[in-house]
Amino acid sequence: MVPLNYYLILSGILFAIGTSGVFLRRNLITVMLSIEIMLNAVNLTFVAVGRYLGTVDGQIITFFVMTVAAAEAAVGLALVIALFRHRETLSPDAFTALKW
Amino acid sequence: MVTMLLLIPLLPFAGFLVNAFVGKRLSKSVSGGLACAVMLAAFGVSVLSVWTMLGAEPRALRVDLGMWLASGDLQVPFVLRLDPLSAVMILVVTGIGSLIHIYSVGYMHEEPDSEYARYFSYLNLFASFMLILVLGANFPVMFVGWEGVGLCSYLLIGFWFTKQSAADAGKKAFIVNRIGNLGFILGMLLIFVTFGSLDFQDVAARAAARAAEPAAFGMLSAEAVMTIATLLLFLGAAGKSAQIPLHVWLPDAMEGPTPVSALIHAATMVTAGVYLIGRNAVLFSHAPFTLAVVAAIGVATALMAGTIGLVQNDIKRVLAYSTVSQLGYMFLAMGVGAYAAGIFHLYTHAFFKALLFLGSGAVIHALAGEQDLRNMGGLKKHLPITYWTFLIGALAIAGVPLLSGFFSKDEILFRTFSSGHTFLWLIGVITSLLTATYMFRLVFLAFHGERRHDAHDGDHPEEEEPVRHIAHVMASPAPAHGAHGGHRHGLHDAPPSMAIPLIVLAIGSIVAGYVGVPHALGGANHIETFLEPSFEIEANREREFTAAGFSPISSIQATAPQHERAPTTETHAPAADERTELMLMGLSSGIAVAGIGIAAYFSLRRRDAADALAHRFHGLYRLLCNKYYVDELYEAVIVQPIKLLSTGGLWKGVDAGFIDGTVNGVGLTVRTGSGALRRLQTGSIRTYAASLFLGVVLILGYYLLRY
Amino acid sequence: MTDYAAIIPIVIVALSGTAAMLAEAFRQPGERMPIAGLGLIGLAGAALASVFLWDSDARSFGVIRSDNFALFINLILCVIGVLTMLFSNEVVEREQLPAGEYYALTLYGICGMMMMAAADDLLIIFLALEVLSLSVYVLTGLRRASEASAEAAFKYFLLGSFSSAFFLYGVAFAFAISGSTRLDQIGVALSAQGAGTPPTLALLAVGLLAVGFAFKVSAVPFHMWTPDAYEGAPTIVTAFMSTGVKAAAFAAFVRVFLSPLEPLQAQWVPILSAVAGVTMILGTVVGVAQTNIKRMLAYSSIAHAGYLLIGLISNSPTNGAGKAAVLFYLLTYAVTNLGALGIVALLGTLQNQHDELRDFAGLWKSRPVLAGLMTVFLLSLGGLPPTAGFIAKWYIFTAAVQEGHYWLAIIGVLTSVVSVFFYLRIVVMMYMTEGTETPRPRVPATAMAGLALATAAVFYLGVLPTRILDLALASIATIF
Repeated sequence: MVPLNYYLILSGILFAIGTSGVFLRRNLITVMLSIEIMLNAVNLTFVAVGRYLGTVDGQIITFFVMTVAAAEAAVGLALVIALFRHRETLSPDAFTALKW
Repeated sequence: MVTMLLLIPLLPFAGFLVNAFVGKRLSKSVSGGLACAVMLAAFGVSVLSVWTMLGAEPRALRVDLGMWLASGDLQVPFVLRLDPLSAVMILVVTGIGSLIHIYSVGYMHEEPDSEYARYFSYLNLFASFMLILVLGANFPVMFVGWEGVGLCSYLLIGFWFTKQSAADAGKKAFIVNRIGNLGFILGMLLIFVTFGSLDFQDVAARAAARAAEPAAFGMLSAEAVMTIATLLLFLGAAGKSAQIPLHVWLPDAMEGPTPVSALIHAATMVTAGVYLIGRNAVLFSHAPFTLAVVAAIGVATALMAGTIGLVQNDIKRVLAYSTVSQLGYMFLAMGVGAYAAGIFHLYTHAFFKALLFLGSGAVIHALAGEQDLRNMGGLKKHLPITYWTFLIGALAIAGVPLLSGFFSKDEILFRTFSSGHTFLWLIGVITSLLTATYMFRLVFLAFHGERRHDAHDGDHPEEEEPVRHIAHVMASPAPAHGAHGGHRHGLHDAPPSMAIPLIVLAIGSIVAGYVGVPHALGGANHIETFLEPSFEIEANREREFTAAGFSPISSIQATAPQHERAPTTETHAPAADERTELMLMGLSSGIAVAGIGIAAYFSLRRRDAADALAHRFHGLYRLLCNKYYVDELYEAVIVQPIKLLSTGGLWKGVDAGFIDGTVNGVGLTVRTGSGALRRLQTGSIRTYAASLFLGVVLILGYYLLRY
Repeated sequence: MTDYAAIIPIVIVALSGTAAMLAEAFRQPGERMPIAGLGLIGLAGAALASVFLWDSDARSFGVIRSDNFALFINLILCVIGVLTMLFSNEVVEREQLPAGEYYALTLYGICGMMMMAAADDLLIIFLALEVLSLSVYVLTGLRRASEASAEAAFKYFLLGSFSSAFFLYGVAFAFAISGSTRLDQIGVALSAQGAGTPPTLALLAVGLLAVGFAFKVSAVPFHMWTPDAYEGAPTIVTAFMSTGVKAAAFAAFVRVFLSPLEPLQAQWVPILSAVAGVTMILGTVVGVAQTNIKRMLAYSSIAHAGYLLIGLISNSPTNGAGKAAVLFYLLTYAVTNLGALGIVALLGTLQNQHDELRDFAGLWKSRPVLAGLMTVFLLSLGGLPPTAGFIAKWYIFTAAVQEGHYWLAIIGVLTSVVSVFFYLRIVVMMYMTEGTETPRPRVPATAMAGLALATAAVFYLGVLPTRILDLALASIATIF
């Protein structure tokens, strides 16, 4: 059996990939996807810990998180569309009307 | 019977409510009359209360309105307490306040109805807060009044807010006061933490009991705590009472209507700082270092303001500096432990300074807004009532024997001398010379000599509104005499509503001092014996509450630790001292006369000599005219850097510069190119995310380093 | 039935939200419908239910716990909701916001907030956080025609989901330590660790949970979204979210950090102290430079988060004055800030938001009553007696001093002194500057009633705070 730590490290790496994606990607939709990766990294932790402890709690929590992620994606995409209507661009650096 | 104590602040408050909410619909006579009536009623109730208090033993009345702030060990009831010290204060506030209200009826008569009501509503609100301030039996209650009077002062200074200078002056007063209040709050917190109470009497008793403790609060000894706490409180007092370094707001506050200057910025509010020290006399007595600071600041302020007063040309500004200077005297008295003398001077000062301000108001009123002394002169025969009453006020403040100012000022100087502060005494004496000089310079320039103003301009009809002119004239930068001035045909002396307060105050300025005739002159110094109990620990710390919750404190049982009586220098002068005192009195009488003589020489006889002197000591003259450049200093050292820090430093610097930089360092090291930093401008969502991530890194990094 | 008792207030609000949505669906074009009334009924019902539940300590399904603490927050939220509804009717119409969506989202947002305050399980806290956040994100972007609104909403959304990922990671670590997301079990697992260096996982959990909460309460350096979101959102939404989200987030913050994470106090106090100090300073100093009222109030809101954090840090079972401070402060801040922003919202029109400093010039002349009320709210924000703000700050600072956090108390007092400067700028504008001829719309009676209510609350809390303080004290005691 694969030790718990491996899962935790993998999820940590995934989380870091997601985080760096938020900074590095130049498209608002991919930035949102990066956040999805972060959430799924957390899901991995939940599942691994649940399995390690021998309960189903971890797996169930994952479903909740996935639901939340779906809702977030829906709202996020709607907002992206609203934003796109105004500027015709999806670069995160284009939207700096509100500052200081 | 004791419930009537409640009425004292409530009456003006009721007046405020009526004038604030329905004032616009009331005619002037109703709103003004109402405001005066509530003040007179409050005065009546005050007299009755003081009378009741005199009959009680010990002399104190309490009204307990139940818990106000209570949670855990913090128990602050809303309690009003009348003792000799607050008795003096409420009589001054309501008595002189009533006179000034009456005066305002005439002075503000030209304002439109709604403004008139607004004015009186502020004035009543002020009186109400001031009465809470002096009647509050603990720090928080006092603080309510303390902040409240600050707010009213701000509103009244900026009353003619269409004038930029008035609006600015109001703001300045408010902000400077806030700095002082900061000290008040911190001092209050420290006292609460150390002594576990905020009740003045409790604090006094506990302070005395624990004075010798080596570690009252953390590592600090009780004395150190009390020194810090009193210094903080003194910061608050200095803000309210315009002492160095927070004196800058008071002269500017003269932008407000003159009766306001008389009430708030001469007779009552500005003395709140003195009152605060008097109220906490026991605490201050245990902090000798603070007392030394208080005395030094007081005397320095007195001297500085006195010198500035010599060269000012605006009649109200001269009086303002004179107020600052006299407040300095009061702090000197407090600092040398002569609390009763300080309060005595506060009390006499209220009379003559209110009189002087109201007199100057009458002059300004008659001259349709003219405030520049250089454009006055020869008003003596046109404004006889104003002249004679003003002269009495000036004589009183100059310290001419047998008028009120003489007794109180001499008491302070004598106490300073006899407690061994010879140097402070010397400066006090010099200041007293300055006082006589600048006051009589003012009197001579305004009332004597030939007329230098054009009263017979005649372009404008008789019904021109004088007060409107004040706003108009003061708004124009040039001295407003000449063809466009629009003055009345003739000069009118004060109308009855203004004249009566002047006369009453003039009588007061003569006789008010006789409650404190010193022993050396065969008097009994009643006021000192009267006030004495307020500066000591209350004889009885046990409270009894009747079913109604009110009771005079009537038990004689002494539970308070009496082994350490507050070290007060207010001992009765032995016979040997009386001779010293007589000599000092002679000296200061001489000085008063000398000061008047100097003023007469320079202002009447040889006006050119004054100019020559100014020319000769040009640098000094400039320094004084510019008030020692304190405002400029503050602007350069405090105001500008804060602005700079705010706009340049944190706003753009941290949000934009620093965080951008950090982004480069932490979040985007992988990213190639140096153009990243340039492209990341604030407002960019990635900057924000980076800031968030920086927080995560800092928190987790902290744990990583620590464990 | 007992299992459902604790969620009754939440269900009532949810139902009224659904009713609002349906009402919109069945509305004929052009027909005016008092949808706000539905919200008011729902909120009144929830408030009533909360009062009936008082002292019952009801629990639902093991994850929702309506103890007095949650009920107190519920009541604060009901006050916030009622005031928002009272202001909304006119504003929604004037700014042409989609009414059904607006009311439904507001009510669902309140639902999420109530759930967050009552949640006894980290996962439920996360879900509640998302429910309220998603509602508020959409509300922020509700002015579809406005680019600023869309930009604000997206920034808020993106940073919000970013931070909730961190929060969720924290939940996962807490789950890893104790095998459960229930707060009590986490508490048990952590206190079982005993003294000594806590395990890495526990530290990670504390740190990441703190990040999630700090973001929602807009503490520095997680505050960057606040000014933008507050400025871009419709003013009425700004009013709602600045108070509601803060109250709910602080409720969960307090519950999680003082109850299960209490054993790790030595670990989180230094961090939160640093955050609180920086938050107060930055919020205040940057606020000074602002000329947009909403932005200024956003920085003020950041600074207030700092004061609230002091209250959280200075909380200990033995501290008398400190315990009630946070709850009292939240209530105070809610009525005060809602009042101030409500006035801004009521003065705005579709063309002119009326949120620049200069828009307030001469308000005293044209609208004396509004100017007077605004003054009261601003003075309360600045913490001047006899308003509620003074008492609230006083309690916070006293608590800090009693717990030995002198520096925080000093920074707090200093910054609140400085903050008066920018509140005063608005007052000066209103009274002491000649007005440009800004057209100012009519303020309906319902909104005036709301303002009167808020003013009355500001003075009531400022003059006679004892009763509410005792209530707050009794309610926070339930979470220890």
